[in-house]
Amino acid sequence: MSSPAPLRPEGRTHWRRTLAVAVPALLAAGGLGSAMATGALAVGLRVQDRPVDFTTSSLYGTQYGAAVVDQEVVRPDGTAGSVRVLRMGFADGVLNGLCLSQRQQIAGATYTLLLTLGDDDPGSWEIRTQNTVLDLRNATGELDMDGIVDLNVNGADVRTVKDAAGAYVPNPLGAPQHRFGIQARYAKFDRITGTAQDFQIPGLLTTPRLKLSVRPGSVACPAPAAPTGTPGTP
Amino acid sequence: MRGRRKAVAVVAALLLAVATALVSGQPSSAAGRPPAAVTPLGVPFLPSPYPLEVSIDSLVAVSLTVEKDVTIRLSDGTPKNVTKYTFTKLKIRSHMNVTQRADGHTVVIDVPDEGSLGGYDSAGKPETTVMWGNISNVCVRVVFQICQVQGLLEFFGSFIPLTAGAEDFRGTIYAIRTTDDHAALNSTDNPVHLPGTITVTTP
Repeated sequence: MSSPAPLRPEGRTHWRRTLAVAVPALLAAGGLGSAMATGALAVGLRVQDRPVDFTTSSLYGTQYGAAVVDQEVVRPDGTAGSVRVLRMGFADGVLNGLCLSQRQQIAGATYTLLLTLGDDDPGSWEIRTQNTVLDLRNATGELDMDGIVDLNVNGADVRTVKDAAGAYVPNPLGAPQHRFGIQARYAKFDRITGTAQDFQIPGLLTTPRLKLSVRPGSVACPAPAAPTGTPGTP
Repeated sequence: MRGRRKAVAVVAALLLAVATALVSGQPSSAAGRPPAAVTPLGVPFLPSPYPLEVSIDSLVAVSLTVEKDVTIRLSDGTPKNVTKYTFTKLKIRSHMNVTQRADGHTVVIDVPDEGSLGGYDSAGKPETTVMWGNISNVCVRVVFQICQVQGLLEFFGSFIPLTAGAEDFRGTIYAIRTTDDHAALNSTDNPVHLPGTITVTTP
């Protein structure tokens, strides 16, 4: 009869298992590159480098502009390149919930980093933003625009934000000359599902409920609910 | 214990994200460039030199007026002789596709079913949609079917009613402007209503 294996003390830390969970989480978070900085206003959010899937019940804003720009990317083989995207900008805006989903391959396994902001109320545009910039590869939903709406504006002539003196910042979207552009006084995009190459909300004027989680496997954001009511004043 | 370790991992991820934030800069989008030196002509803005190929399978509008031989200037400074088309209360009854093929990318706006490029403003006044370019085909059935703008002009004169609808709209359009003179915050009856997909592809 062999002697039993020595008992290990209860409550010890399983570093190997901990690392198995923590390392993918850290790598995924680093890969996502989401930035949440406590600033003078509140919180900023930035997602870049790799495509991120997103959904929102509604995005509504004033002084809307869009233009086709070149966005630098890192290809799957690690080399640098660029793709063309439709860069959308809002001077002021409100969001009715936001979910970002990005998949990462780590040590042969797929992990998804899910980031959600806002509440579950389709009647509240609870996230107020300034100078929102979104680099779209594609988006599906309801695209509404109001005021004077111009299509095929020279992208470099699009205007969104103003400087401290109240003058429009020239070419705020950084578009090369002669690219496709859109300019509208108001824009409201409902039930949007899309893929963005870059997502920037440097000024979140309200601090929404934020949840970040790392899930094993490929996990998509839930389908966006139809918004109810009107968004109010951004 | 397992849940606790997961919580530690998530907190660590959050901390890393915050650290990333602290070294991240402001948006890269604010790369200032001088505006184009050329000034608009014929259109209130400078259109891109790459036109939009617009197709609408079925549409309805209150009216269409046509102004020929309008000289516009594109953003590269090139003058272009085009026709100016003014629609009032332009609605898409089925499938609109707008495609721009430029050097290095293709932009597609696709609306599979109904949509709008103009409606009534909050004062009840029909909104206008102006297109600068060339409509190569639009079919209107009166006594018989007419599919050319010139034929419609000869039949109706300069004011073409489209209240009965039109089919098979095809045009090469350099610029589109839709105007709502009474736009307001909280407006839900937006003149440009495009339920569909917008895609940018790079070859």
